[in-house]
Amino acid sequence: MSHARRLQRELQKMHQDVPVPGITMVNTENFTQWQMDIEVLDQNPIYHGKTFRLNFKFTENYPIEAPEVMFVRAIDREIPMHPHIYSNGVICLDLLSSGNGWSPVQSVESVCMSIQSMLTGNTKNERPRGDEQFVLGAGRSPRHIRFVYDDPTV
Amino acid sequence: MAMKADELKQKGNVCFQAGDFSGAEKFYTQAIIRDSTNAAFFTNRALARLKMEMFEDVINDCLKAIELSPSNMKAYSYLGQAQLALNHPSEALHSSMTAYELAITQRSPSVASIAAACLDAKKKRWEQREEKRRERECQLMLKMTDIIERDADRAVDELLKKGRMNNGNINISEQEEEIRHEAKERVRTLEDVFGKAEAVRCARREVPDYLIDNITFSIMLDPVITKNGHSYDRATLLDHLRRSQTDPLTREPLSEKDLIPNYALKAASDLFLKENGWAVDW
Repeated sequence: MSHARRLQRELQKMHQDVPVPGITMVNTENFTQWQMDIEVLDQNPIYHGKTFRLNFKFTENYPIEAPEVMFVRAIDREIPMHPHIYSNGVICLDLLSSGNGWSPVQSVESVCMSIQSMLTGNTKNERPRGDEQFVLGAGRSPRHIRFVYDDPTV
Repeated sequence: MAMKADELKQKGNVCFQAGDFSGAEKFYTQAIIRDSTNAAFFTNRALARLKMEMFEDVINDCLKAIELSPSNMKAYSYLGQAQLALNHPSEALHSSMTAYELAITQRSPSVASIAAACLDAKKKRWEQREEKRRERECQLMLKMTDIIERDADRAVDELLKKGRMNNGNINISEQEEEIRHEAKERVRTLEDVFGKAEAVRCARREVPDYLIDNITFSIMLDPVITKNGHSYDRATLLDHLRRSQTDPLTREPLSEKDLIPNYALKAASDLFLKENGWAVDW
C-alpha cells in the first residue's frame, strides 16, 4: 500500500509545482501503470517536433524497487531513435536497472528528465547494435534483461 | 497418551495457517496448560486472539509473555495493537515503540510494519485529544450562548419593571425587540469566531519538507542521517539497504552501521505529530 501513498504524493507534487518543460502526464489514474509524454526541447534534428510516450509499471515495492519504464507506440507516438533504445521501446539506462543503478529517491518526474536529457544529448540517428535480434528474442520483462553498458560516449 | 505441549502448539499453528483461529486458540491454551513457561505459546495465542478481536485477552497473554521473556518483540507488537483497538492510544504508542526498538536491535524484517503501527498510534492519540478539545470548545460555546441569552432576559425584565412604573410606556415592545436582536447578533458573532478558528486549524495542513522522508514521501518516525548529511526514515532506508548497500543520493557504499540517529529531527517530528496527527496520512 505504501507504493500507492508515494505515487499519490508524486502526483500532488507535480500538480503543485511548476511543470517541467517537455514533460506531460498522460494517464496517472491508477497505481500500477502511468503514461507520460516527453518532448526534446532544443533543436536536435533527430527529435524535433516529435513527442514520445513512456509507460511506467510499478510493483508494490516501488520506490524501493525500480519501475519498469519503456517507450510505447501510440497515435503520433514513435519509438525515438537512439543507440540505447531498442525498436520495441526497451530503454538501456543504468538508472532503470534493478542493480545499483536505481535509487528510491528517484521519481517518475526525475526519470522522465533523465530520459529527456539522454535524448537531448544524442547525435546518432541509429538503433543499438543487434536491435533486430534483440527485438525477436524479447518478450521477457525488461527489468530482467542484463545490459552491458559498453559505450560511455552516449 | 497425552500430547506434549510442543505438539499442541504445532497443531495450533496448522489451524492458524488454515485460518481457523478459534481452533488454534484452543490448542495453544492446551499447550499452555501443559507448560506455562514458554513465551511463544502466549504470543501465538495472543495473535490468534487478536484475529478473534478478543483484545482484553490479547493484553493478558502479551503481559504474561513479557514477564517470561522481557525483550519479546512480538508480545509488545500485539500488545500495542490490542491497546489501540481498545482505544488506549498512549499505551499503544508506548508498546509499539518498545516493539520498534526491539525490532531494530533484533534486525527483524517487521520493522516497517511496526513503524507504521507507531505512527498509527500517534495519529489516534492526536484524534482522541482533538475530540476532547472540540468537546471543550463546544461546551464553552454553549455556556457563552447561555450567558448572552440570560443577560438579554434580565434586560427585558428590567425594561418591563420600568414600564410598569411609568404606567405602560409605548416604546417597550420596540426596546424589547432591540435587546433580543442584539443578543442574537452576539451569538452569531460568537459562532463566527469559533468557526474561523476551526477553519484556520484545518487550512494549515501541510507537513514541512524537512520532516518528509525522501523515499516514502511521508513523515519520518525515526530519522537517521547518512554520511552526506541527508536524513531518511530508518525503516525505509533499511528496506533499501537490504536491496542495495548504497547511499540513495550519492550511490557510495552505505551499510546499516553507518546510520546515525538524528535526534533533533526526531524531536521535531515527535512534536509536530503531537500537534498534527493528521500528518500520518498526509
